[in-house]
Amino acid sequence: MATTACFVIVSRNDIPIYEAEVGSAAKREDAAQLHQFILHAALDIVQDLAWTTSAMYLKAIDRFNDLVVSVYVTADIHTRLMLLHDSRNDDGIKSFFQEVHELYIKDCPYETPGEVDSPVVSWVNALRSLNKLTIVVQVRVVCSGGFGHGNGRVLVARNSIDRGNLPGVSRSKLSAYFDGCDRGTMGIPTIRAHF
Amino acid sequence: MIGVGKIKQYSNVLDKPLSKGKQEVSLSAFAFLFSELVQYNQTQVDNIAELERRLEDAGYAVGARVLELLCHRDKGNRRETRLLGILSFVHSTVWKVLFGKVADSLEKGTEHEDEYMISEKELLVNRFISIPKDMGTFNCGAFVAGIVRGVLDGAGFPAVVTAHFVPVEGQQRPRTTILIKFAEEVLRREARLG
Repeated sequence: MATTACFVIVSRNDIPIYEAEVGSAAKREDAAQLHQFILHAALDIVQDLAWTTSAMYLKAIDRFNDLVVSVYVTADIHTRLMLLHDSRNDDGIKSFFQEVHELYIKDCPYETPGEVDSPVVSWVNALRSLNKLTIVVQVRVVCSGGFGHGNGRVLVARNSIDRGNLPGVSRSKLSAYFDGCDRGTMGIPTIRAHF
Repeated sequence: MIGVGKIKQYSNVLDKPLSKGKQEVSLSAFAFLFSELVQYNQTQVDNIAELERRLEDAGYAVGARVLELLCHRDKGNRRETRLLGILSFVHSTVWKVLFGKVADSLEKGTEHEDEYMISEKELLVNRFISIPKDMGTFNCGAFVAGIVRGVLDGAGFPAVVTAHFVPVEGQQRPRTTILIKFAEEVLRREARLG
């Protein structure tokens, strides 16, 4: 059976540090964006759940149609291993996460304390080269509007614009976009904005 | 001690198992390396505060890794989500692995709700160090403070951590106190988790 799977390691400030499409299904054209979008929408849930349990493996925490998001939070609460999958194999996924975690401990990426780029800016910068700017901003924004406590991210985006970190994006455009999203349902893009 | 008990050499760090195993380093070798660390950083800075900050940053990287490793090795893949839990993790588990013993004491600050102190009569990094008079309040414990900050910050408990000398009556050497002042958000979350 063909399976879909997307594995991402998200680091401090929601910056993705590793990404891999590992499924055997034929790739849909929009797979990369769709998967990122679903995984990103799950981050807010992870943020809340991570404090309610001391287990690292949080099991399946979110779903989108037949795609399920399983998450593993390492001891460093900022590091999240996320797997988007459509097959049911809880034990297999758990041991997969544990194996990745061990490798992660051995090769702990060096983290310097102090200021890091704001999440929005670094996502945009990282993905601008891939010509996915529209989608990325959209993902951010929809997530911010969809959940009540995501409002911090909206502020970050606004501040980034004010500081001129998002050239070509005007505040009025983005605000309109947020407002539209607030009325939208959780995790579903309601308006498409092109910057 | 170095050379006691053969440690298997792995060419690739990823092949090396994470399991325990007594791998102690000789104290003199560590003291020598640490003194080099301090001396090198001394050449890079203009003032004491800057020097302490650099030592702290060096410790931070250690702390971040120690947290990941020990939660896996000693706690069987459980995270710490509560304030007291993470403090006792630092005070006992981390201290034991790094310095071979638990810290002398862990106290809550009397004046402020958000302050905790870990005291150590003779901190390992300070054992062979005497501070010249002209360097005032400089404390090499800043390195250990950095480790503590790395652990706390990684676990999601951002804090300002500083090292101070506290004179003890009847003792020639002062003891070192690691002062931990948690960020406001940490206390708010603690209150919410109840």
